Amino acid sequence: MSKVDQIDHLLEEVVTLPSLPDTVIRVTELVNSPDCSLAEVGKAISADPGLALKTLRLVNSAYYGVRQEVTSIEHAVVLLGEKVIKNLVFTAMVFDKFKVGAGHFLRHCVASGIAMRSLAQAVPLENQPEPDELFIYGLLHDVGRIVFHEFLADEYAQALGVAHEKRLPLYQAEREVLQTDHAEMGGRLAKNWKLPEPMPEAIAHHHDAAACDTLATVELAAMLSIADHMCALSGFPSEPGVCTDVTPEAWQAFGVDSAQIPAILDRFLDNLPAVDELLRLAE
Amino acid sequence: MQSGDHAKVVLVGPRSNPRGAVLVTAPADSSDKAATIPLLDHLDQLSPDQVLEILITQERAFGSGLLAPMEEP
Repeated sequence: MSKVDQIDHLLEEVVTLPSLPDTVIRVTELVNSPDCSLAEVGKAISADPGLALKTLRLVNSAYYGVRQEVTSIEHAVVLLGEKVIKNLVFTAMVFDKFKVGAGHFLRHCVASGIAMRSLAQAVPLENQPEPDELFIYGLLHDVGRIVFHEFLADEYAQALGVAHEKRLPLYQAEREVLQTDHAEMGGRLAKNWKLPEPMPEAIAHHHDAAACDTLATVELAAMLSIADHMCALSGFPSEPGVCTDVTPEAWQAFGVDSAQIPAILDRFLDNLPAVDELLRLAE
Repeated sequence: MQSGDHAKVVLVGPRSNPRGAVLVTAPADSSDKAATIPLLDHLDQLSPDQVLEILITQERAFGSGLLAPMEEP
């Protein structure tokens, strides 16, 4: 069975993909629409009191650096603009949905978001999303693990065992056991959620950047791979004790040389306090 | 290293110290001493992957505490 068939089989026979909350779908549709009004975006978020509250807590966090206290969603939308608000809503949603494992998974997702933001700030690339948008790429890059964790727990545990025993990166062990990996599953889920391209493709290939269709997406997938690895090395692994890697092709695609690494690490360390702050808001 | 030579990395202090991380290269022959060179002056001799791993390990061992210390194996 080919990889694509294997994923299709999993999706049709085994897994019911988790759906996005209605509010998140509505906000994404509004923000992507050319005639979107800020008032409508505000109303859509306010319709979900839990999400609205979490969004307000995020707006008022030091991470977003808004000087005045924001007490209404409508005010937040006007102040930050609809794109930032969309990112906030996604972050709030992830905090609700990603509470799998012993907390280290959510920590890895948030740290990866911060790592993506840091990479973009240290090495600005042309024709790529803004650093705050890239935060969402990092936040969601391992979303496929949720599917494995919830629907294929035995096989996932087996893959973890193989990764430990053979000292393999988890995506390679997943391919051995499941004939697919969390990246491909995550890309499928992102597509199912109708997240705009190139996010689904970058997520799908974050361990295989060269397989992306366009150069811009190859760069994004390579960045995700580097952010993922940087977080694992820094003590924010998605699975403790499992090794990670970045292919030489991914380093080449991102286009950094060794002399730029200290600046990247400095930027990551500068941004790192935001991880704990964001996680506190998730509680 | 990129040159094909082999070296060991020795971490002795924080990244703010230029000699906090050094490369120790094997002597060319038995009469020579091993050379010790600061890592930061020779980053081009290593791949980005190697530099990232070394600097993060150094930060976890000698940094300001933003990263958790390495666990004993």
